[in-house]
Amino acid sequence: MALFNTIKIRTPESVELEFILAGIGSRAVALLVDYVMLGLGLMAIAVTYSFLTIQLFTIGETLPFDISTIRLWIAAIALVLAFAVYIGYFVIFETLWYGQTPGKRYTKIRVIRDDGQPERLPQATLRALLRPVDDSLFIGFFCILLSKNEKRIGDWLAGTLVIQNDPNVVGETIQIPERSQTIGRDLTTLVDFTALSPDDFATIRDFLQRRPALSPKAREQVSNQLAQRFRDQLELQSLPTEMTTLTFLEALYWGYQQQRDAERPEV
Amino acid sequence: MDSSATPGSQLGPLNPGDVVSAAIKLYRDRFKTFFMLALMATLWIVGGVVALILAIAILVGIFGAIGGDIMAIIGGFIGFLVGMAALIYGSAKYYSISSVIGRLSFRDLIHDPETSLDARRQVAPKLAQFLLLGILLGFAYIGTYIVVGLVALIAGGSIGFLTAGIFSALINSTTGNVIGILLGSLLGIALLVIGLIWIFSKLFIADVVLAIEPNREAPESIGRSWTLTNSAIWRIQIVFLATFMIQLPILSVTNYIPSILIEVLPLGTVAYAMIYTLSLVLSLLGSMLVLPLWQAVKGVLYYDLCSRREGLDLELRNRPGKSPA
Repeated sequence: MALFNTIKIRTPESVELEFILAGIGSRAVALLVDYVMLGLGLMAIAVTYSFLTIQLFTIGETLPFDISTIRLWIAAIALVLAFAVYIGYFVIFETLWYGQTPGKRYTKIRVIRDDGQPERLPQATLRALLRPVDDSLFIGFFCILLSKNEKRIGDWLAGTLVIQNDPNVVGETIQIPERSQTIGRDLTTLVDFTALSPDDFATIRDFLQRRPALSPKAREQVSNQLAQRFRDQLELQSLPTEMTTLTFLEALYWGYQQQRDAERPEV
Repeated sequence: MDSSATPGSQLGPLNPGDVVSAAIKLYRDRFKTFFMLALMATLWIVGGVVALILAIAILVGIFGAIGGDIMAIIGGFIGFLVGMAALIYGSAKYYSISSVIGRLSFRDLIHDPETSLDARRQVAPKLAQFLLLGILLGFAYIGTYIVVGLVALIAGGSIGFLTAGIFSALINSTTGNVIGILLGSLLGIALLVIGLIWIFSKLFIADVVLAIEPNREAPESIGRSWTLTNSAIWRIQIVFLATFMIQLPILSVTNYIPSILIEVLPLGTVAYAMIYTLSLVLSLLGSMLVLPLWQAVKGVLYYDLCSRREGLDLELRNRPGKSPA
């Protein structure tokens, strides 16, 4: 069962790339964040505009010339500024940040071109100019929801896709205590790590990475369960020393990593 | 360029946008099942309301025929009691059936799907617990409303007074008062809304917990919802906002546009009556369409929180024989 749509792109160099599409939820969140920021920007313009108009009224009587022209100018500048902020926000961010806006960065999504290249100025401009069209009557929403590649009208015309940003990026490195490293070294001589698949290794890594967020009870339960399973899988009758299941998992992680690094050919 | 599906694997914790995307995907995949459940749930509520009206009308008629006005009032009272019993039963049914949708979504996520009938059979014996849960949650919301409302009144009032005073001194009393009232009421409303949303998010998944976890009772389910949502409140807000945004297009067609029409049309005309009936039916349809979305979101959120706090996904990866296909 696939929860997220993916897309395969063949680049001009015949390299096949697979991306996970952003999904309507992340795009909604990104839009929300961006519109809040935009709203703040537009509010700043509105406040400045009203402040200037009020000031002009109060000093208007003392001026030797008619102020109505100046008022019109201020109104015009405010309108142009508002439009520039609305369009410019998306164009500038998406161009400078290679397809990301603050909202998209927050939700870890990115705009790319249909051929997998990063989004540039022309695409960003088209997308931004068509945004009002997509926003009216929820046209963009229905397009994203119903189209296979989750494209709104702006995406169709600009030839862009919105994808999830590198879902496979490994998080921060895991700190393995000295003692676990020593045991890990012992384990490398004791067991055959090929009995563990890369998926198993990933499970240990995920557990160690996410351990701080787990509740204490769950931490113990999951580590016991994993340790039991891997011990059986590695056919370890007895452990080199007395240790907690957590230490065992850390040692396994370290040992596996050491062995894998040793096998990897030097470039 | 072609689109294909990712090979299924046990999902880890999700980010808020993905919770909503996943819920929509599950809803779309099992649209008929989910919508039928929503229909059933809604019919129970509608049935309860109809029963209430009928019970009052019939008993007023009967008692009135026996002994005049006073008896009619007594009959109305008895009818109200009988009808309320029906309505409460209908509400409990509504609650338990709609939480079945959350359960089904969750079971799909752990690659252990259930049929609608199986899930209903599992949940049905907990009907009394759902009733209790509804009552407890009702008390929790009312209590929060009163407490936060008071706080909002005091905070908003004092800030309003303060700013009014300051700006009156700085500019003039009219401007000062306007700014004070504006700021004060904005702050008060904001506080009230934030407080209500907060309690609502803390208790949001209580009903799916009751539906999913075996041998749970209503108070425990509330406790579970409370602890699972710890340190996830901000994420849940984003899930709420995204779901809310996504339901807007549906609700604007079924609920908002007809209600605008009602405002425009003159009262007492045939067109008005027709539009009124139509809008009632449409708004029921709208809430039926939206209900599975929210319930699926609850199911996915429950999965997400269990993975985050309890390593559910790690345990599932570990389950022999049940390894994801």
